[in-house]
Amino acid sequence: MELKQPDYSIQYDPGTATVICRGALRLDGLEAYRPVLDILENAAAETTALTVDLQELEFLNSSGISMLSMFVVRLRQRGMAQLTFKGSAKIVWQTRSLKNLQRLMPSIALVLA
Amino acid sequence: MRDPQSLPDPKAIPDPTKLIAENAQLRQQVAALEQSNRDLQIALETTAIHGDCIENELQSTLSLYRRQQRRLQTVLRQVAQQKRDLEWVLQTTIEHSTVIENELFTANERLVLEADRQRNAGQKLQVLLETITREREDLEHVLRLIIEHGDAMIEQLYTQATEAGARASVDALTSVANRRRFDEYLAEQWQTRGNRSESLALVMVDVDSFKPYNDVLGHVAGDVCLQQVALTIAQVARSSSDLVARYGGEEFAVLLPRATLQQAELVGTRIRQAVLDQGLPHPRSVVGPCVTVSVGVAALVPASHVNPLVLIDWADQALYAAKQQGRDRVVVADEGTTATFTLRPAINFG
Repeated sequence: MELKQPDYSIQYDPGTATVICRGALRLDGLEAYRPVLDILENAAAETTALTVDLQELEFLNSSGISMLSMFVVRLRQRGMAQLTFKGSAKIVWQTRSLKNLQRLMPSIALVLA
Repeated sequence: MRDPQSLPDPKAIPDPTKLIAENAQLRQQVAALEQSNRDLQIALETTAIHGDCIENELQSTLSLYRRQQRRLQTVLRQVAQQKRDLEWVLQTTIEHSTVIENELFTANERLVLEADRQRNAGQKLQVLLETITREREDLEHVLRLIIEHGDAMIEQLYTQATEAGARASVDALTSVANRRRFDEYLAEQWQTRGNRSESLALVMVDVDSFKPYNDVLGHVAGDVCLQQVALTIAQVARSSSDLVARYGGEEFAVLLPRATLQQAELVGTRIRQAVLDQGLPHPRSVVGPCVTVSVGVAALVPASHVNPLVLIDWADQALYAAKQQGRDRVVVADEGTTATFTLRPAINFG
């Protein structure tokens, strides 16, 4: 499962059960984010402990954070055992928005490197 | 009283006295009997009268009883009728009650079912309400998250833009303004000072014998030298409106809004002295043992129809003159140092 575009890439590593997002996600609207959401949900369906690595994702627009919110809510409803977000303390939006995702699912583990 | 058939035969009566006595006795007996008869008669009459009375009373009583009996019979009939009515009513009531009871039972069953249905509906509504409440909370969280995310992204972009803008305006080596920023500021000030008929001065500074410095000490030392000179110039610059820029290579420019030629010359002099005072060793300088600078100064009142490059040209010519005159000195642009003198220098301005 992989998406590769000039601006960004989304890659699932089954070995570490990690979805790695890189670059700048500036897709237009939730529908455009459907392929990204599909990768995340398919990855979540394969494991009980999923990690989403955003450390190299410099930019994420509002539709993107909405997509992440939707993903988190669905996992919570499904009773996902463990979800971890890895972020970068150097990227402003990650220091704020990833913490806010914990409001939707308090069991989310957040690692800001 | 003696029966007359039993009287003795008179021929046989022996004694008249005795007979008389017997007669008297008999008379007494008759009298007694008559009295008794009268008494009996009276008693009989009394009894008869009494019987009549009793009979009358009995008759009256009987009549009364009969009337009462008739009334009672009437009452009895009424009671019987009432009883039948009551029985009918009772039966009707019983039947009605049965119907009512059945209806009530049916209604009760319906109510129980309805209550169950309502309870189930209530439970479903409760679940629905909880779901909706949770979803509403989620939406509120998501909304807040999106808003805060938008703020964070804008802040991140603003910071990046500011940093990029700063990088675009600052010379990476010396941290003073770069050439692009100098050109922008010159254009701004040219217009502003021209509109207000105020002077604009430019001090051009060039490090003397910089190429030999680089050749001998290396480019790293050359970079440090330029950083030191830039810092020294920046410290001498008068105010926040003055702009120190790296004009190119080892050449720096200081733009001084509202400064007269004399004031600009003073700034140039201070810069030259401050650099000299740094005492940076220069083993290959043609001037002396330390790093020195040559300074050219120009000032004028900008005019909208004149190209701002004129001011640079003047200051540059003055700088060239300083170099020609032996370096490590300040030369002010005037008619003697500028080849083309097309504008009135701001020597006496302000």
